[in-house]
Amino acid sequence: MDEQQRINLAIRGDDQALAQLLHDHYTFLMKYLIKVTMNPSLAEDLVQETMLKCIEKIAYYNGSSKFSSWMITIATRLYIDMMRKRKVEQRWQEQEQALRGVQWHMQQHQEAWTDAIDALSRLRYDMRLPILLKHYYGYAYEEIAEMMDIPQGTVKSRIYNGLQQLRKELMPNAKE
Amino acid sequence: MRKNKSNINQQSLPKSSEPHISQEDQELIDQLMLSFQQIDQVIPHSTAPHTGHLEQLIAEQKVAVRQRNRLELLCFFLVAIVLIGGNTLLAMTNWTAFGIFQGVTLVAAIGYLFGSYVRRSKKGDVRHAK
Repeated sequence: MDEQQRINLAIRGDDQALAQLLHDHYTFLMKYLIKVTMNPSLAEDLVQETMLKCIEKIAYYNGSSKFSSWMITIATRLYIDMMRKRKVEQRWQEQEQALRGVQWHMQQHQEAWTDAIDALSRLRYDMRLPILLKHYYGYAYEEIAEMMDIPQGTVKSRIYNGLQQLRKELMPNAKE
Repeated sequence: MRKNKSNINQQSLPKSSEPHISQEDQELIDQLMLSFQQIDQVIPHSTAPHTGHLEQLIAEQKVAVRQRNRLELLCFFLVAIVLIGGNTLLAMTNWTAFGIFQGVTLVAAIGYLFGSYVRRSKKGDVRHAK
């Protein structure tokens, strides 16, 4: 059975088909959320919430985007809502703690904690998100705007300013 | 930690929908993508739960949603009964008070709709920028 057939069955209320769909996209979603949050435990919580939301909203999935993109949209909006509700100080403390964990994992795998990873992890989430979606996942500005529920111009400005900020940190001598 | 929206320089943006990427920017983007790949490979994550477990989760979630919908419907009917009953009683006892109440409700509803329209048009520019 291909994915489209599973989606059709899931929309009609087939629990088995939906379970299989969620199972197939679990790793993709988890990896996306780890890169978005840079916090594995927060990513895990968000995966759970995203799956519950998908179960609730599957009847509204209209096939205008890929199923994985639909899941990413739900996950992104949940993450943005969560970050908006949390106080800046609380967010900072949690992020610092999570980053130490990520750094430890990198060292365990003999991977260098590069300046680029450090700069990315310290970049504001609302700038990291569109950079990731645009340049890593290859989504268009229009799609990112839809995913983040913001105007296209804001997406462009956040990507532009995010890259400027990263450039300043990584290449302090570079021209603006 | 928190930066103002004014820090975001929208005027300096390239105008075309797919802006030209300079060599320097491309190098920076390549470096960042490599970092994302490293994160992907190194950070451990839990494996996907068995489909049986997911089916159970789906069944539980559907029951919870159904219960929530029933509760919402019940609340809706209760509020409707109170409002319609109260208005009917008011109309039967005092026409002036009923008219004033209707007028105030209408003005409040228009104000609320206008407020939500303004909030929606500003959406994204302010709330997500924090």
